[in-house]
Amino acid sequence: MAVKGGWAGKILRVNLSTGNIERINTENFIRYIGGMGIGYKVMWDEVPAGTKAFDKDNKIIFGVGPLTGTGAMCSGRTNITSLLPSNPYNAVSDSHMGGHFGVELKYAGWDAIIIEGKSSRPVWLKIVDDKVTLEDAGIYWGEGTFATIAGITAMMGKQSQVAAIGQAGENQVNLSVIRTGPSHSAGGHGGVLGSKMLKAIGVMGTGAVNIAGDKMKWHELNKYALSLVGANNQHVVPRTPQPWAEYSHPGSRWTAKDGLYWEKADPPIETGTIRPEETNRIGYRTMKAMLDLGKNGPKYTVRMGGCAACPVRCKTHLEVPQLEQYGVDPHVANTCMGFYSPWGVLAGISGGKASVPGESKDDASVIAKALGAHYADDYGVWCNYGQIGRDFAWTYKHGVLKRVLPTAEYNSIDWESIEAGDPAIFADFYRRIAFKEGELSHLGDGAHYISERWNLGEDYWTYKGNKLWTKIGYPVHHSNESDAQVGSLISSMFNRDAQSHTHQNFIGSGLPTEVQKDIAAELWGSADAIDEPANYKPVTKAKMKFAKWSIVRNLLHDSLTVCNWMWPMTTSPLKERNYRGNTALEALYYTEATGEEISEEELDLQAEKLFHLHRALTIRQMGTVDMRNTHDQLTGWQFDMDPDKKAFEPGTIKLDREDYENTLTMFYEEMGWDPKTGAPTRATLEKHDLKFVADDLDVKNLLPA
Amino acid sequence: MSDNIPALAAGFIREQSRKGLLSTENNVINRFEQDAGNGLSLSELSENKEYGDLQRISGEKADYWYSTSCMTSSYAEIAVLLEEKDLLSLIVNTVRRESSLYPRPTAIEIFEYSPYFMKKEEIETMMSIIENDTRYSDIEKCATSIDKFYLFSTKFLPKAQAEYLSEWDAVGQYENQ
Repeated sequence: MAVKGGWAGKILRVNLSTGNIERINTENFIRYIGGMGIGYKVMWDEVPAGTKAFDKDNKIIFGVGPLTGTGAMCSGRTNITSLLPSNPYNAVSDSHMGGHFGVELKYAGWDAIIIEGKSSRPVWLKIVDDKVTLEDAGIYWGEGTFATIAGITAMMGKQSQVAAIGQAGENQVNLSVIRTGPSHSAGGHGGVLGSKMLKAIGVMGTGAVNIAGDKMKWHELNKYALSLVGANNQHVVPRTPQPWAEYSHPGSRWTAKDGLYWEKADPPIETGTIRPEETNRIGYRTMKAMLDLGKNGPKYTVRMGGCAACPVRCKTHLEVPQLEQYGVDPHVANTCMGFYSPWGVLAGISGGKASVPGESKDDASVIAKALGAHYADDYGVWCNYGQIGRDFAWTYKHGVLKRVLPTAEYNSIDWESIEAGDPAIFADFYRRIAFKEGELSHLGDGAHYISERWNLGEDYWTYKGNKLWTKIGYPVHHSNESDAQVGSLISSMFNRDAQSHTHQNFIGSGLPTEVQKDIAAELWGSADAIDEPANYKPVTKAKMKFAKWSIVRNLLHDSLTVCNWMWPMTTSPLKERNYRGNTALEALYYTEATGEEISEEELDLQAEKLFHLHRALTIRQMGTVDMRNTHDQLTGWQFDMDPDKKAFEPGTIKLDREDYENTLTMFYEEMGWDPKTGAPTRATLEKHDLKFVADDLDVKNLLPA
Repeated sequence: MSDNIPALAAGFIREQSRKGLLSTENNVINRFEQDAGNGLSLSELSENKEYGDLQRISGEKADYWYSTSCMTSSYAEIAVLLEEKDLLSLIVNTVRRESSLYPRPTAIEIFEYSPYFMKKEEIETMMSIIENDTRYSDIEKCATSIDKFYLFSTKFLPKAQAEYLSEWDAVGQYENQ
């Protein structure tokens, strides 16, 4: 199929072993949508089962899609696919980053970069439109991400975008990131770049992305999308009661209100009250600082930042002058776990406090979060969605570290300062992880590996506070607290913490449950798809339709690429629409961008195909067809928590063992997978044009009976 | 009555509504008295299609007007109680509404902030009344692990559910982003 618009039309393949640079036509990948879909297809075709993440034969694919760079709302994401080192089977996984890298890649004329082989010396990849070269990275090897990104940007020019690893990635720490811009990082695959000795990718494009459809129609579509969007996570009601709003919710990220300021801006900027029709002021709707950094977050906020083509600004840009006392730049930018993860490293042991002489509790907490974020980002250490902090605290409190660390190493750690909540400890903590210094650094291996290495036993996995979801070694990420079986199922389907926000955005929209139930009935056939929070009922078919739809849209978004932390537009802030959004909007964008008329259902089918492929990749890598028992089982605390309560009583998110097995069965059936094993059947694979996958699995005896 | 007075009166009510403020009939008539004389009736005005957004809401002390194009009915109910400084009803009605509608418990501290702006001492006084008056026996208090307190109505929200949701609001949501 000829590419008319949306896609750039070509994919870059770089072999680091040979230095060979090749251009591939994107047309062969169009039925895989883009981004994540390209990644899975390449991994299936080109990376043999049993390959390990840091092996030369592993590949890493930076993929964008037909909407990236078009200006479609929230289309600044880059999807990165490879084997995941922290996964015990090194199964396939994705990391994602926002910012402007993906858009620049499209402007340079590329839909993806396939990195393969291994360089014999540190290099970085320079892309200026069609001119692609491998450059010596000797001067950057050993540097953090800040210096590397700044150095390459200075060399390429201000218009360039750079993605780089820090020392953690270089040293092949399992938990390491690839970072771009001031505040965006993709967790999990930094070490893969390190293993290939690829320090960074710099890209600059002078082209544009062609829109195949009518340009005015495109413009109208964008205006329409802006009318439906809410605040961060598609929260569609304000956080406080406001004259324009019928509803409000204290958990909403629509924080804008009179008297709320970006206080460190010069002069300070008031977000003010932002009504839904004020689409030119959407950027003020969310002030993440007050959520991530606490009461004093606004005091240090210069502005909110974000990604290409996204009207919602979810990244807090801070100026914290006190950081200069620690010898680091006072400017820090991040969001969500970027701030919360280092806080967990400190607060897990200090008892939830930070302490800085002469500073209030609230200021000390901002200083700690900002300082920790600086070190984690610069070294390029990934938190495994906050798990590294919980692992640090649990192993310390249970005497594991005293048991496994050599005495000299144990005594070299300033436990007194950690217990006191002194943020100065971050420099030492993250350096040890990034440089693999001593036994403690194995915290950077990930949960599965420390469990084996330090013999942590069942208590580690089953302790509710550790939040470990499955024995694959990742934690909860909008799991059983998010519509019970729906969040639980979604959390069990991937090879890392689920990156699906589809369900959570809907549940967290701020609308009353009854309104959500009405919408659920329209979309998934029954109001039973959603329960009142913490008052859950046994699994229903509608819940599994909701779960499937959530996953399918997640994969769709990571392939198009648009942000799943904002999309889909399931709801809207508009009372006149009865708070309905428009779930066909992705298809409308796709149709206009590519010139290929496609319906919502057809596009969902393409995305569903990618999920079957993900499952097949997992089966092939794990070498077993029995996904139910080897992949999808929980650690146990989910069933045993709140011993004084039963599952499905009000006030608990406790699951029921039998109900969870039913959940798996019903979901497998919804997917067309074998209800016993949870593996895709040949019929399902063939239905989705994956006969070649079925054939390969058949040969390996990995198709269900 | 001058021709443009109805439009000016409606414009005034809309502007006040946009700011979260209600207008009494007297307030509007006095503002335009010189021009309007005794001819301005908001009830009559609201029957005109052009001013169909003007809506009356009754309080204990007065009737108020607002524009439904600038203020929702749910906010108008809050605005009446704010206008009449009926702090007790503000707390009780808010708690019952949130427990029944969303459903969720209500953090006591929200009454210190927009749009309520109650003083801590005022909240404490109201809490004392709520705790000791049988008319409010359905309103209960629960605490979280960080000693943040919430109210809920047992008519609409089971205690255990309120306790879980309070802990989630105070602690859990920030650790699960």
